[in-house]
Amino acid sequence: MNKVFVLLRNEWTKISRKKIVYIILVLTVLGIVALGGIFKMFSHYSDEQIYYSEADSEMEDEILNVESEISNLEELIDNYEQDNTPDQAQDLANLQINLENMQHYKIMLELGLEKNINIFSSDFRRQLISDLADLQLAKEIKLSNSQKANDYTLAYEASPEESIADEIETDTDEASTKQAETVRGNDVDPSDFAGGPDVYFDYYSDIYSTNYYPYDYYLYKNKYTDLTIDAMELRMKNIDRIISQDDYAAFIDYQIDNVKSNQALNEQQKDFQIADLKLELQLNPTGKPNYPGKNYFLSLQYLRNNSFEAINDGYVLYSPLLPVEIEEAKQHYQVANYYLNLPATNPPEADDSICHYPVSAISLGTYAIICLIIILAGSTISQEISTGSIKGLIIAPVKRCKIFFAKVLGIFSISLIGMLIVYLTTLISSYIFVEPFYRLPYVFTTGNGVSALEFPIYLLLLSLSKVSFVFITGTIALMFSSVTRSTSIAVGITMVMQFGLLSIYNFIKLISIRLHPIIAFLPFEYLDLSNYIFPTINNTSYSNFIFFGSNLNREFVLRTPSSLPYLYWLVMVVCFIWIARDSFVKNDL
Amino acid sequence: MEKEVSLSVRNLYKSFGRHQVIEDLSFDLHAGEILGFLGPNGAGKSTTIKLIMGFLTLDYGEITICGKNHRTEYEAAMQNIGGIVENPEMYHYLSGRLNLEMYRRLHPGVEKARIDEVIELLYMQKRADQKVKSYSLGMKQRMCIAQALLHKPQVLILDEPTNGLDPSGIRELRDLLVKLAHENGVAILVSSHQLAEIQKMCDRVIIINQGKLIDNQPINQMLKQTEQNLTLFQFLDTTQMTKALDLFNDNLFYQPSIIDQNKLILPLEEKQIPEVIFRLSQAHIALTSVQPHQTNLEEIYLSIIGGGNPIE
Repeated sequence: MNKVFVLLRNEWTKISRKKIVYIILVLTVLGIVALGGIFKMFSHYSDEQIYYSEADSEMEDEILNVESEISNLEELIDNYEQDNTPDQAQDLANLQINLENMQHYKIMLELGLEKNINIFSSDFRRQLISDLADLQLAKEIKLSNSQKANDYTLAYEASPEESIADEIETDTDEASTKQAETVRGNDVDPSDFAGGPDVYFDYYSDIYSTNYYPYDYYLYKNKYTDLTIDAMELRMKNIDRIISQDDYAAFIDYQIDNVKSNQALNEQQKDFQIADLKLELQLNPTGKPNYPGKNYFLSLQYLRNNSFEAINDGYVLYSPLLPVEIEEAKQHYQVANYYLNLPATNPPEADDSICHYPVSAISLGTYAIICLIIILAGSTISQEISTGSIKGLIIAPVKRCKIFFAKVLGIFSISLIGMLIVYLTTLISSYIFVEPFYRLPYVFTTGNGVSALEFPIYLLLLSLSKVSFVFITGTIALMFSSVTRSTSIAVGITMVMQFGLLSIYNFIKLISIRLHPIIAFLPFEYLDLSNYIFPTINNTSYSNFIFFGSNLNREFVLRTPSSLPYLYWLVMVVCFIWIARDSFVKNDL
Repeated sequence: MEKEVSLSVRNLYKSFGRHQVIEDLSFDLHAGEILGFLGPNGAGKSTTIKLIMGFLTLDYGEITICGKNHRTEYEAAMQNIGGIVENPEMYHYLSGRLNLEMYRRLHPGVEKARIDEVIELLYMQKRADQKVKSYSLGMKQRMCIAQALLHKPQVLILDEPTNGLDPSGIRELRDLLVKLAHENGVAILVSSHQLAEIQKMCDRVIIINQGKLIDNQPINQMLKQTEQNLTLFQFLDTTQMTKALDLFNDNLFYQPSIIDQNKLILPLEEKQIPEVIFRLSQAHIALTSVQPHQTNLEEIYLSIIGGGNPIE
């Protein structure tokens, strides 16, 4: 054993005299620092407000369009009512819904003009204008005692969904065609759609409710129709007051009241949403459309809320969750909740993309060290044989297997030291480029709850876990170096395996994923143990082994025991080392 | 009294694929002895040395170094051996001294000061700290010999040790090897095509061809066996020598051996020489010199091997 360490010392002597080692290490350090600069540059928060539209004239133009639509719809409804037959009830209900949507839209536009609030802008009060329009329309319907809409609605709801869908998609009936043509009016071009891209998307996503107007009828229809006229007026006054105050804090209070009175939410959900609203007010007291950290908090809230619903309902996308998925959802819920409960006393100043820098820097550094290790391991045996320098080792009184294991230890120690350099560089540049808020701990679930690793410790352990990937790549290069005895072949093949096959892998997965999960199993892809030691929040060890699980292909996730990746890694390392050792020790030189 | 056997090679067999390179090769190397290892290209000399040095694995046979079995006690056996195989090669991006230092680490008990000793021994003091890639072939050869001597091995295996050395270097090496063998009792195996050098430094010679042992005897004995009264005749030019050959062919008593365009050798008793000179002068053949001739190893080697093997 002593001789192995002497040989290892010799390996170190040789490695430390190679220029390529220093070149790659310097490039790695510079690359990590430069990456920090790039992240910093692109995460710079800009205070510019993003408006969908700023021109009030657009609202005026839109009113004219809407009025024209309303008159068309009223004419159509009249025609239908004249020859009212039971089989036309669904069409009539649709038209009535469209009419009410248009009326609501018109009210919004009028209110916007009246109160000088552009409803296509990012002004937070457009939400209030929408609510005001809801109330006003609900009030008008109630005052006119019109039961028509309700009757139609009841007929619409009673009809089987499939038949409606079929009718909309495939009906060749002359009247329907005529109605469709008339209602749609001019074709809508997304680029000039007044509601902006989000609204345009909603417009196409709901084929049942409207053909033109983007809002969901039932949202406002059911929200206020149960209120008395007095209650409606009280609410409208309150909204008017908030609009005139133009105070975001008052708007948040209004939203908190809405949450509290929302019967569809349970107490826990209400608590979440109220806390989220208060946090938003803290981070964004003036109600700007965008503020630093917005996406960070929104994504965590999204994850927490979705996980919570999944745990409570046991369903995702109308399909029941597996017990293991519920466990994952619980982990996600706990982790998201932990992050959200961290004190926001030091609110962020930059965009949240900077918080991805430390992990990205470690990944960049890992690939640089992989390049270094491929060059060193790929030449360690073959170059010594081709230059004849191996003679000095063979003549020495040491067995070949000891020479070989010293080389393996050399590769491991270089991997380790390379990753420690990456770690230190990343840590220092993180403290330079990343503000304290985004130097996040790593949160993971334990048997009893949640634990967190502080940022520097997490980075250290992440870097050390990446050694697994660097080292196994080194053993692959060593294997090719020993078997082929050609540095260029060993380095070339290993480089292609590490960097070139990923795209081919992804392509194979793309075409085969629907056949069976095992087809997507590609032997050299699962060798980075850091993915399993520190799974990212969306990819737990359960779903990560064969390919990343998602809601879209849940049924194709081959779920494996959590220890399998480690076992697989170990088996592969032993295989690579065994082949390399056998070739080096038993073959003639 | 028979000296101690330092290296014993017994019934060695080695083939590459179907090609049998070494076949039943056996020989001993004694302490304090310099053994010349001769043979034409492809005879199996380098293969034998590589087998002894552990570069190749044996098909069959046994190698013992200072009583330690090469197969079962590899590290103990290799502790006693040093040498150079084929071309002198080291880590070219390291200095000569660092190469020696790395080699020293693998031999427990060898002090650092020994590095300076061997560097001085091979006259490499001025260049030892420069990178090996800046060395000439001769310098590399010196450094490799220094490495081979570093741990004071009991057995030295040297494959073409004079390769690249200048005449003074060759002489210094020869003196060094003779001193090591005769004063320090080191057993030395030298493989070389420089037969004159072999003749000057070796105590014994073995000749192999096509993997088999052809001859194995002390060099003095080998030269003695072929010792006859030989006389070298040198003629003015080729024409004169052709005439002389015609003359000698007419008389079966004379058996000339041609060694050059205008030189030939005749085995003659001392009293026959004036008669031959007389006959040549009678025939008007211009003779420039007549002198006694001493047989050397090259001639013996060539007489044994003949024209060598066609390379397969």
